[in-house]
Amino acid sequence: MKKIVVLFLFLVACQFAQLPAKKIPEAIPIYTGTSALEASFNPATMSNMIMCQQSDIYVDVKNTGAQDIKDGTYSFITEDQYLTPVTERQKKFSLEGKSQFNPKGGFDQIHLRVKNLGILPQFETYNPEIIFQACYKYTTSAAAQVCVDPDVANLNPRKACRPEPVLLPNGQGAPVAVTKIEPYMVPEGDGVTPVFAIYVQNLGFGAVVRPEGAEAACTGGTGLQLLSYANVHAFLQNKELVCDPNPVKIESTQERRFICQRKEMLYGPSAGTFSAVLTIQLEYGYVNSLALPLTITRLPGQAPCPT
Amino acid sequence: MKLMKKSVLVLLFLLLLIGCATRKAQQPQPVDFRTGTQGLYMSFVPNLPPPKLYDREQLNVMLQVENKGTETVGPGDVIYLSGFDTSIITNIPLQGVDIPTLDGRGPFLPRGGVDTVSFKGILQPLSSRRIDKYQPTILATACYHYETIASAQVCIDPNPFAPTSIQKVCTPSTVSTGSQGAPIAITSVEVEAAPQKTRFKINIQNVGGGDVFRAGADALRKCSPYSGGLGFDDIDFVRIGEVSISNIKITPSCRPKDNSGHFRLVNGQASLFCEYEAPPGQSPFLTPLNIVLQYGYRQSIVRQIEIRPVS
Repeated sequence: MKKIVVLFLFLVACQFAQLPAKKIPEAIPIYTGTSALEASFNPATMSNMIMCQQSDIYVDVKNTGAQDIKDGTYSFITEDQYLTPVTERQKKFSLEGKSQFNPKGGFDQIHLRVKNLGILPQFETYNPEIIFQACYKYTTSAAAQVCVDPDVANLNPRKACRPEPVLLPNGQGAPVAVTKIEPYMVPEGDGVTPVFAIYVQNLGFGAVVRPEGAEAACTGGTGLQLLSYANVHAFLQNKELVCDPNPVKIESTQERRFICQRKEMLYGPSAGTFSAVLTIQLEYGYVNSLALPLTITRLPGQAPCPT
Repeated sequence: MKLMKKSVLVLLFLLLLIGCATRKAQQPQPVDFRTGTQGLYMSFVPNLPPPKLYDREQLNVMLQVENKGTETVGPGDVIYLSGFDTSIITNIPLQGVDIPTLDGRGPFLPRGGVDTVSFKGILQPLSSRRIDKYQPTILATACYHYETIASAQVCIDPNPFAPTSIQKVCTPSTVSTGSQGAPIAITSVEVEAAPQKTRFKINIQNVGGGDVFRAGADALRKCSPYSGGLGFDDIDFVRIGEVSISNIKITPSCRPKDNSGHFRLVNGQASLFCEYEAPPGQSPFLTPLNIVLQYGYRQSIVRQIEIRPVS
């Protein structure tokens, strides 16, 4: 009898045990951050080498931005009189960006084998640098909720939103970021034309070139294509706006401003006040550089390298 | 032991008697229903719209509407949904949805009509816009006609300053009326007696938390969030429906009012001055002063939602 009572109490106690809380998977924010390609030399890289020997250079590359890199180019710059590449020093590459199915973005490792051709006889050691450069086209896709309000006279004080500046401090998963959007409702007849002042800045660690100069930046090209400009496209309610200036000059540490509007886009009172999505696309080329200091050591009494 | 048995039997007998007592049929009792400061009460039904949804789902918005006032809400009155991008959320009628007829409270109806109004929106894919989420604030706006009917017992003294030794049944003074089951309340009536003329200062206040505007279909159309909006000449206006005393209409004597019988509320308050010419020679008496005000009323509630792309 006692056993039954104990069993019964045990069963009753189990009823009150707290079940583990169900976790609802959270959607991963993709369009955030200010990086695209992140490159670093792998610790397995042989940065100390003996004269006339070869060294393996490994570069870890990951695309932590929101766009895929397609047909990017990487190249290694070496002091050719001391180091000669055994493997290809310049190559095309592609790397997937962040997505819901790949929240960390694509990852790859680039390998370069270099052989030392010797150092000057008066040196015991020599410290050249190997520079890794990656050049690729990239797109910043920024989307922000802006308020379109044809009621500039505020006849209807009860509104779902009001046109106010939108700050975007966290980037959009690309090195060039849209940092602020200022909406202005310009009265035209009975309606308004929305005008947007858009602020952009290079918040990444690389340099911006024109999109058509993305390859040339890594293959020794020159000319206007290497200037820091980005092409701009802006859309409101699936209609493209006209932006000025376009292309816009993008410089690091300095915020740049351009204006987007569409004259024929007129919102009358019948449109009501509403939150719309302003989509901005910036197309540019981007160049990441990374330097590895090497140490080449001559062994005591070592003879010059055989040719 | 016997005594105990007896007392138990007596107790059972008493219980039986109580149980068998015929129940009196409960007669419904009239109640003072003209109280309260609300007309139409509107709220989102829980989880409609859900706080979070995906762009392949349907947006269901359901509003519960209850007439908490004393007048009927219904035909011609509309609820609008606004605040969203019509290229992302489609299929929501921008001309609004009619509010079903909702009876007001009455002497034998302690609760007004309750119903629901629903909207079904179709969401367009967000993935092409490259946006992580779209968070519009959905604004539900109700535009309806309403009436305030107030009755105050006022003292009419046609000869307030006459020297007399007869005891008067009442002395003209301020009558507090509180609220009348409508968003526009007649808060008090000040009575000022003069020989043969009694003046009334009727104090009116917007107590419903919404916007009051001119009565009439034209202003009701302008109440829509998809219209040019109610202008300075529409908003804060109330029409004098009727002011009467002892079944005698004194509406024409009421001031201020415009050609259409409207007067303006300033900072949600107004005072209406009316006068009544009492027949001479009468002794003071108490009589109901009836006031009817007509107006349009706008109320809104908001709900933020989050729409995410499926992929």
